[in-house]
Formats: sequence, structure tokens, C-alpha cells
Amino acid sequence: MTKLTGIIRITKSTGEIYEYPMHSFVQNFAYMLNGLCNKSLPNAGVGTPMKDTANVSRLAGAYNAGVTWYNWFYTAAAAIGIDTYGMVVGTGVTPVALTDYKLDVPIAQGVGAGQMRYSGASYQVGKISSGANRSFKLIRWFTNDSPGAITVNEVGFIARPYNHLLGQFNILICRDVLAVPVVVGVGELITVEMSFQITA
Amino acid sequence: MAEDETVKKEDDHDLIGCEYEIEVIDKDGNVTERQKGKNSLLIQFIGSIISALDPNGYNTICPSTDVKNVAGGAASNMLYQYNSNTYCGIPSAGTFGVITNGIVVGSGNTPVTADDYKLATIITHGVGAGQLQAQAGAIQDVVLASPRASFRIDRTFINGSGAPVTVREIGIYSLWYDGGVGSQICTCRDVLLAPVAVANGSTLFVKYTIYISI
Repeated sequence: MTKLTGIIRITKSTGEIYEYPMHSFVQNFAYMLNGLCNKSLPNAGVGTPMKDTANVSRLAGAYNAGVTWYNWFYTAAAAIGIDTYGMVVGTGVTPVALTDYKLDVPIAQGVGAGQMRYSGASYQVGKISSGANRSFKLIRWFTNDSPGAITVNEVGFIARPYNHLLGQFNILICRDVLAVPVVVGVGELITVEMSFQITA
Repeated sequence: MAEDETVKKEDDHDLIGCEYEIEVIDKDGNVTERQKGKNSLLIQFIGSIISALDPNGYNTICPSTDVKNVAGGAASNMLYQYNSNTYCGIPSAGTFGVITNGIVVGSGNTPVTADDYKLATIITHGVGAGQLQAQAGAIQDVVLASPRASFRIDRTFINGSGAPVTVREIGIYSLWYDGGVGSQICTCRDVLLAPVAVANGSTLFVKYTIYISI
């Protein structure tokens, strides 16, 4: 049977590596899949509305804006300093629930206490690699230039599906609480990778 | 310290799963046979998910060699998923009499591989020998039952051929569009645990449940 698995890999600038299997697409993702298969128009939504990161119900999907095409959970390439979408990290430890719509305690962009600097996101775009085991990877870097150490306990991904009447919304599609917290010291950087693996 | 000693790991977890159930219902409404199984999602389905992570749109991911349409041709671009209200997503419900979209059934039993791009031997729509009448399919709403969030795709097939029709494989065909050409991709395929004979006058009810699980 073909399987889709995911790995969160965190590499510290000190060389330590942590790997966690991804567990947690949340309910928003199921609604998106439902809409994908159901030929839902962006403004017509995807069955029961998804919840954006402000806990507001939203109807959104793919969209054609002239020459720009937005995929059905278009992620956009989050730019430097953007902490509202793309890959995000947090300090919360509340167990994952299907109904999660945001990280428990997001770490904000910045250099103040408890903040980290968010890099631009990187996507291993191109094609799915060939062969029996195929993979695709998302990468983002986070630097601790705050006055103290920060413990990363959760990782998530926020997509940006489109509603052609209202624009894009920030929709959390997965959240994982790390089995082993990652303590990031002052001046340290972590590389967070989400790898999706297709196993034939 | 050895390199692998610095890596802290857990076991893998399936991010997406799919199950199927089929029922044969006789002309009196009695279920005469039922089978359940774990589905084989194909590269096309998973590719459609991964493609959505591409921040650049439709045309930079999954080039031709990764995804094939049901004719075996190369898909020039991966899913483009919206076109002037005509195409959005990978429509998978299927309409009456159409077997190029929605759940499909077949008589082939070639073992499933992840790269399958069509059913081995599709059963066509009609009332002739070896045919079944494909009804309009449906995609049900999402059901939340932690740890799962799931939804069902289903379709019925009526045997009006005058003789039994044997079904050995089932699958889902989904529409896609690359901006110039509309076509179909096979997103799921399964060979049944045992062949199912659908008697004349009976109905075959095929249900796929796609789920995520935390």
C-alpha cells in the first residue's frame, strides 16, 4: 500500500539533530481535501468552513487571479520575518486536537524576550523524486537573538487558501508537539525541515 | 559520538489513509455480500497534495514523468485545480453514465502498484454484456471523530446486463486540468480480496473513506 508519512527534522547550529514523525494533519486539512475532491469553488467553500488562526470560519480553496494561480492550499513562500503563515514554531505543550486552528503558544518574530527571527521559507520544489520512495521537503530557519534560551515544543504549518471575494486566509493544516523539546540557546539557529515521504 | 546517536527518533505515522467497503444489494434490497479493505492511494493522489505546497503555482511541480493520465499519457503539468469555475480541485464524484470520473470498477486483477495510472480492465457503462450502469456518485461531508477526520466518496452500479458481472478491482478517477488539456488521473486503485459477482438486477455500492488521523 502506498503511504504518506512525514518527518520533522530539527538541526541545531550546535550539530544536534532531532527527528519526529509528523502525526497531525488537523481537521482543516480534511475539509480542504473534501473540497479538493468535491469541486468546490473558492467562494463556495469546502463543506463546513475551516477555522483560520483567529478562530474565524472561512471558506477558501484554489483560485485563478488572472495570470496567478493559487493552489488549493496555496502556502506562499513566507518571507523573512513573517510569522503568520508558512512553517511556524511555538513553546506550547498542549496535546494536539483535531480542532486545533493555531499553535498553542506561537513564538513571535523578533529579538525580544521569547522571540525568534524567522527566515524566508524554502521549498524543495520541482518534481517529486522518482523511484519507490519519493519525497518533498519544506525548510525554514529560526534564529534566537533574544536575551535568553527558548524552548521549542511545537511545530506547525499554516497554509493560505484563497477566497476570491475576500482574499487569502491563514489556515493551520498541521500541528505537532515534539516528544523531546528543543532548547535553542542565545545566538543559536535551528533548521526545521518537514519532509513528506511517499512509500510505495 | 556516532552521528546516529545525535538523532532522536520516533516511529512513523501514516498522515493520510483510505479504506474501502463494497456491498452487493439484491433486487429486494438485501445485502448479499460485503467486503472491506485498506485502500492503496496512488502517486497521483499524493502528488496532488504535495503540489499544493508549491508556492509558485501549478506549473513548477510534478512534471510529466511523475503523474500520468488514465490514457497513460504524460501529464504536462500537475494539478491546476481551478479554471473559470470549470475545474476546481480534482473532482471525484462522477455523474450518471460517466466512467471517466468518480469511483470506477473493473474486472482486472493485476496487483496494485503505486504507479498505476488506470484500472487494469474498466467495466464500461451500459446494459450490454459485461457492463454495469454507473450512477451519479457523491462526496459526503467531513465527519469528525477524534482521532480521525474523514469523508466518504461513494457510488452505485446497477447490473441490467441480463447476466452476472464479476468485479475484481475498484478505484477513483479524478479530473484535472493543466491549463490546456483536461483529462483524468487515477487516484486510488484496489484489487478486491475476492472477486464479487453482481447478479443481474443487483446493485454494487462502493464506498471509499479518506481520513486523516492525529
